[in-house]
Amino acid sequence: MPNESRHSLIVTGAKIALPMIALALLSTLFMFSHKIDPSAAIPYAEVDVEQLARDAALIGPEYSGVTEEGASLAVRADRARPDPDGGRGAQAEQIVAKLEAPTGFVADLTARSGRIDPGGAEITLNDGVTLQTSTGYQIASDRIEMSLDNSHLLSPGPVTVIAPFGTLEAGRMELSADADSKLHDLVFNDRVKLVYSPVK
Amino acid sequence: QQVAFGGIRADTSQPVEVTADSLAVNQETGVATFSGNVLIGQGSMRLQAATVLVEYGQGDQSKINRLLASGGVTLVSEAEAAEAREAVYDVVKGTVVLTGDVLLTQGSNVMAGQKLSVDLRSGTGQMDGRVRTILQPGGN
Repeated sequence: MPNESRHSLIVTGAKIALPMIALALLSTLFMFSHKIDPSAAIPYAEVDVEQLARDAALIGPEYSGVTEEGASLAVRADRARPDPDGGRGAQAEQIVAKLEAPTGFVADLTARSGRIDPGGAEITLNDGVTLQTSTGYQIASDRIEMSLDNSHLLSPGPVTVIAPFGTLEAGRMELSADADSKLHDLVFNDRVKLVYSPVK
Repeated sequence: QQVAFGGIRADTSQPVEVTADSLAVNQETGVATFSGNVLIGQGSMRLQAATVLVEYGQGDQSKINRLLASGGVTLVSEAEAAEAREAVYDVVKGTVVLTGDVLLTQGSNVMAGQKLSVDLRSGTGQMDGRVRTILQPGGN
């Protein structure tokens, strides 16, 4: 019965060798574990706590409402702080506003800074204001006043416009919605100049 | 009545410049109206009017087909001046059609009629409708 004896020899050899290997493995296991640095355990926030506490600020404030003509108005800003000189409303930065009218007309505004005054139903955007309309008008101005209760935008100062039919400059711009027909009129005045090049 | 229009030869591919006191554009219908001493200029051609309505190509707002001037129009070039009640400036075809008591002065000659159509490319004009010409004797 040479087979059985060889087989049983293998088995008894394995019975001794395998546990020994297991023991060796287990005893050396602790050497490969991660180096844990107790001092870096908690990542601290690098925010200046005093500065945050001193001036109260809203992060990512949003205003949304509906104007009398039924146009939905949504305004978002990165940061808003109470008006430094104690006036009403809040001073905001990186403002994005979107006016969507039931007639399908959409106006998107962006500005680097501005003043949001929901109480006075007015938002003033200044510092590099851009207005883009769904009808293909791109208007740049340095100040646009938006009223919150009716879809009315006013740029008292000069504007440069890229219109579908050419480039346009004007001293003043106003976008208003007709009360009953709900249609939006974009009116430029004060020395309007259009340049249209027929050859496209 | 064929009229030579030496002065009003405008290269119709040049940019058209429109200056006015105000421009109102309705966003839904796209109708654009210039009002308040509107001046249309292209090359040496100047067209003044009280109000100008912009007419686009079919459904394509980036192409201007015609400019409809009304409320007293004057078309001016170096040598000629034409006045009328209304005018249609077809930007694509390069023609200006003045209608309503047209008065054309060329140097010292004066011509009156009801309709004057000027082809800016060739610089020729066609006066129709009870044409009356007043030639100054001794003029050129």
